[in-house]
Amino acid sequence: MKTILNYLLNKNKQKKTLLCILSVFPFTLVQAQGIDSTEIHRYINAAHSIGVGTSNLLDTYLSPLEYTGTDFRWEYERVHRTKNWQNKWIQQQLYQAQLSITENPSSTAQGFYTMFSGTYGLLYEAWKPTKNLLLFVGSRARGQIGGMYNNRNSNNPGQFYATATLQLSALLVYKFIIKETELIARYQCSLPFAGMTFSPRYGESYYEIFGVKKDYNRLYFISLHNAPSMFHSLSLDFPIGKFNLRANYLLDIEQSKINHIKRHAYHHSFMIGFVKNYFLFPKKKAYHSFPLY
Amino acid sequence: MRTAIAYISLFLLLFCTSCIREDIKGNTPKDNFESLWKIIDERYCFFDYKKQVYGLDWDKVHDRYAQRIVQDMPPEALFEVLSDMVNELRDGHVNLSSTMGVSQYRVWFDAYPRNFNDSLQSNYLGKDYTISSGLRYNILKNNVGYVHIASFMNGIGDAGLNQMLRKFATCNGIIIDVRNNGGGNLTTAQKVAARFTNEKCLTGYIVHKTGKGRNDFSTPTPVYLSPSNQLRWQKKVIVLTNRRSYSATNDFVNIMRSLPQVTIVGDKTGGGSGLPFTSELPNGWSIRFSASPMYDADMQQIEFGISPDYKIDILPDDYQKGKDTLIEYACQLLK
Repeated sequence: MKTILNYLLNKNKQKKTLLCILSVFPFTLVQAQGIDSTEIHRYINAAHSIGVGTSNLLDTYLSPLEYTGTDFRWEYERVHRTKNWQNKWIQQQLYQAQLSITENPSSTAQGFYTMFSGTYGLLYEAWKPTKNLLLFVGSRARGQIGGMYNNRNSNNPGQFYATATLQLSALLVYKFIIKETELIARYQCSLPFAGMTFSPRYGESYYEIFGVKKDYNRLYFISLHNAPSMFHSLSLDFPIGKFNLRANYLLDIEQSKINHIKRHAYHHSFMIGFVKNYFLFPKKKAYHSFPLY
Repeated sequence: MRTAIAYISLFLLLFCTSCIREDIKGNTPKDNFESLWKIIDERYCFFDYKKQVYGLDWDKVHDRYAQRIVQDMPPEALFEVLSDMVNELRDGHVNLSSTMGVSQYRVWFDAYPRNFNDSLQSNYLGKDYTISSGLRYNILKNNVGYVHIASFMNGIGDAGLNQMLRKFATCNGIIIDVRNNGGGNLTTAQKVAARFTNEKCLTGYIVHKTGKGRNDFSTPTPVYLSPSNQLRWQKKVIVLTNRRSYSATNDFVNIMRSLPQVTIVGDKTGGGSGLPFTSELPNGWSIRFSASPMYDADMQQIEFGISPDYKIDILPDDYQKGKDTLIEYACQLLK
């Protein structure tokens, strides 16, 4: 922080900027005191969130119709800067569990969808036009396992999902103050560009795969041409009393077309969660400020 | 700023992805008719075979039934037309389901003698028979074990099978009655059959569709029966069949007839060798259809049933006397 102050003070042209920042973001600078580059990697931002939203599901192995309904979701996210590379990189860990209860357009059949995913991302601080605006870009690795069950089908009652992808990801973080309250707004978008997924063949039953052949190799390469998917997240961290809360909107668009089987899962989720900013060992006083700064 | 614009542009470019959706046009009678025809056209597995057997032409079926579709026809009339259309497949595994009922092609058993009567059966089972794991069994007067398996829908436990075989241990042979057994789980049928072989043996093949073309099929995968590691039966076995021995029971009979000590007695089985899948129409009606054909060990179709080693019907005279001709014949074979 001292380095930044010196940098700003040594440049006359930026005195106005400094004054402006000091006047607009006094809380930010006070909060940020005490964190230096040798220990910033131990400063963790973690959040548990739960949410509800909508789902639109298609899996032509089960039905040609789109099933719509309610999506319930839990999410845990952990972000911190890396120790190496001059703290220019951040690590992101994201775990999600979701359950969607859906039905077909005429409400004559139900579909139950569940998915568990774990994501690890490494993002580089690519752009920092002001002290409060940061753009990170990088890559994420995501593993998903889940399935969908249709309560009316015979020998194709369900579909098993297992996918591993590499994603390009961009994270935009903006810190601002309203009435002396520090708020952190984030937008992240991710695009899977390569991966592997499990899929039965067009008319192949799970009985044939697991009961007769016992050959489980149904993994297929996926990329933009056969699995154009994307994930968006828009969140706001804000303090209320002693707590730091997060309001989050997620848009998940997962799609694939493999072995003539079309699949999509469109989810909109509105989430609310508790944010905890803390130091890993040794313990230090936690700051409201987002540790990416 | 240029860097940021470059990064954002790159992402926007990559995000220009298209939606993957199924082409469902609407929910009119015509839309539902076309949707049903298309589902069967792309996923049904016996077009070629049925064309050879009785000249099924699915394209002509479309043209013929399309004339019966009227834009404002009531659901009842639409259900009747669509039911008639899928019955052209002559397949008991093809069922259209709605709140108005379930369509079913019944000629495969209605046109044949029933060859089963539970009143006659009770004369043999007596009153002290055992019910266990979906099995009803007893030892007949001439020291023959008799078991009726009414369904393969629910699991049959190893302990239940062990108990039954122990009870039959001193018998000359076993009669396994699968008449009126409409099927269920293939794995359950195979589990029972595994009690009657000491060696792994080829019992058939399974094939699945690999694409939407009517002839897009995978290479056949052999299906083997492995001997159970539990108690196994070593003496003679008679399997009783009728036309209502269908689906997984048809597969059970196909497996059992490949075993050397097994004899099939009764009527030709009902068939149903296609593993059924389910799909649905825009109006929410459900359609079940044969999706994955199974063949016998000689790669021959068993969709229209399996002929018994001894074709026996219940005789009217026997019926009057309270005798089951098939059970009597089986007892004679086991003497």
